[in-house]
Amino acid sequence: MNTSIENEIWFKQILEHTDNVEEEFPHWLRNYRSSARESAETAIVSGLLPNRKQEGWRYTSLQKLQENTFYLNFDHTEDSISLKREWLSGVKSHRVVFNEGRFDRRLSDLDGLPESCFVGSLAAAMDEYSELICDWVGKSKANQSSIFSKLNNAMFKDGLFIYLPQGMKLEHPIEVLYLSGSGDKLLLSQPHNMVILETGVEATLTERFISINEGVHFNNYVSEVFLGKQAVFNHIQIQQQNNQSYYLNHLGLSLQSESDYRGTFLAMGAAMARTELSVDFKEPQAKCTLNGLYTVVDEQVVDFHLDINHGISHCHSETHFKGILLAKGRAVFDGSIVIEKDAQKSQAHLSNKNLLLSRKAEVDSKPQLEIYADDVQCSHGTTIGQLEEEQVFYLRSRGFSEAQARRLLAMGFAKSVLDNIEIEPISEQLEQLIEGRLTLGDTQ
Amino acid sequence: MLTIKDLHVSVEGKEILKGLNLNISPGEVHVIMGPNGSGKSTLAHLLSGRDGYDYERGSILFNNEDLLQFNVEERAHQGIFLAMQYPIELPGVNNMSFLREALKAVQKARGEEELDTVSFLKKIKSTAKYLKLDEKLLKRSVNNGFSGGEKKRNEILQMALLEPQLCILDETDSGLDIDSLKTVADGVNAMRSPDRSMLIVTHYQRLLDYIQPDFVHVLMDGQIVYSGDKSLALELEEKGYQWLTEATAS
Repeated sequence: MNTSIENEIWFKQILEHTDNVEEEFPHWLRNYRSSARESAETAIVSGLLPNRKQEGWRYTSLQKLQENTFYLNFDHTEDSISLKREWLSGVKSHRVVFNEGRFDRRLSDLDGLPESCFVGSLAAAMDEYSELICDWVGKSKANQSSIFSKLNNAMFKDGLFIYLPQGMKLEHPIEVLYLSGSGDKLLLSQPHNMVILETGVEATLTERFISINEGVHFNNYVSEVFLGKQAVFNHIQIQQQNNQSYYLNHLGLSLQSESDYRGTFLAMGAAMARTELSVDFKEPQAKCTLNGLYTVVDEQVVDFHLDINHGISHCHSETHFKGILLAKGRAVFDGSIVIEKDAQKSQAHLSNKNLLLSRKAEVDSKPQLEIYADDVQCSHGTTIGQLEEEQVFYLRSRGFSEAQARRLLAMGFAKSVLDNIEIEPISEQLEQLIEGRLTLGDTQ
Repeated sequence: MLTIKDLHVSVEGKEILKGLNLNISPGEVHVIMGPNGSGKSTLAHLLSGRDGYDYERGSILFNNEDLLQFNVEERAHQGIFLAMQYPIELPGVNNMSFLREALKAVQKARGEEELDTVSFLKKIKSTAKYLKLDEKLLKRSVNNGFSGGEKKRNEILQMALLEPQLCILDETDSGLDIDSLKTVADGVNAMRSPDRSMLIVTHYQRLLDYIQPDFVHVLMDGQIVYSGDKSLALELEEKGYQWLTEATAS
């Protein structure tokens, strides 16, 4: 572990990167960013930085991350990246591409969007939607207590902005790619994403986080999702970066009455891929479904922290995460449900199932449930296990080799999560991706 | 086809088979009956290659080769098929692709040409229909949430597809109602051929109302103590096993 002084210096260094786009922003946003900066500075000097003694960072070390010096990408150039077929679903969609955290107009395709909505760059929306953004930015609980979230709030320049007005039912999914890589300098990108769906909106968003080369990069995302009454939002996040990179994602969900959030989270691991997800039920009868699947190979790390807060009655959360651990992979699952005193008639279920396919892999799973109301339906549980030998035998007795049998069973384990993805080409791509990793795992 | 000589097998230090002899020629149907704990299921399972057995003495030859040198999948490739008493559920593994991949694996190992998709589907659907197995079950996970009867019929479906030389049926009749029993028996009968043999382990004579065996053996205390034809099963149904102990003792 780094000393606390080294820890401090590293964070200060990041905060010292300033840029000249500041003046382009509206006055209120400059204020917002500078107050976040103050808050970050205070956290740094008062030693409130992540370290292994804190419960949330007990199993995840920042040491390797902090061995690197990262730079913000100030001089964004339209370089020669072209989109690869495996990054896209192939279905008709509205495509938004971010290149090193900046909106890339050339690679995006936003033709055919209905009028009166906005899908694209937050920076570009700043004129027209200034008031809306001002009203909502920072209003979710996208883990504002985290120093990384503070850094993002203090420094972001762009990000995804989606605004769908009342009653809009978007026919095609929105497909977002976040492309990252590094050249001579190791790059840090900190997009700040905002999704605002008004009453009765129905939409699907898929986001993929991709490395374009083998360079070390660091992405520090904050995403804020606001669902109005009766809004239905299908949200798929696919993290598939290289083994050297660092990914931090703070996702805050704010749900109004009868809204329905359906999230599916796929994490393919990195040097560190950490998602901190906070669910905030604002009004009764909202539903939040979180399904997740993580696989780790090599020495990858995946880390999920879920904070599901039932502060309001009659809301329903379903959280089901599965993990497949190969080679020397490591995963952390920390899922916490809190049912507050007035949250009667809450329904909350959380499960985390892990399949350990290697002796050297490790998972730390910590489901937590705190209930302060008396009329609720709740459950939580974790399993960590290996494949059933009976099942392996059964398959072998039908002619499958042992390796084939194990792969098939592991895919079967993953299936229940992939089945939640309604865009078939995406679930097929993911199936292939995972199958490839299982084959890779055989040889390690 | 299968020759078992003086086979002694123990499980966790306890001797289960104590000098078993059995000879099965191509085209023959053999039935093994016997009281609980006599070693019937052990015999069925060890032939399929399941581990956990200590082979103390004796030999098993399958097509004149030492069977014990082959692992589970190699035995499947060579034509041994075990229809299990309790077929295993495989959540998330699609039944249709399981059948397809199993057939591919077996055909590849046997050096046979791969069945094309159209012929495969045709074969599966007609067999499923014959076995009165709802086609919807082909789209579900293997055996997952199937009823007892559906699981048994799914075993016979796999058997029909993989075309083994030696079909071992371990209490396939247990837990079946009379209609299912008849359907399963029809499926088994349809597979009888001059170069395919069957080893049927059962507790009940009633299966033999539908499947006509060539030989009936009684397995007691790890040995085959008595062999006869179909009429032996009827006699056992009437008198139980006790009289045999007395008969063989004297």
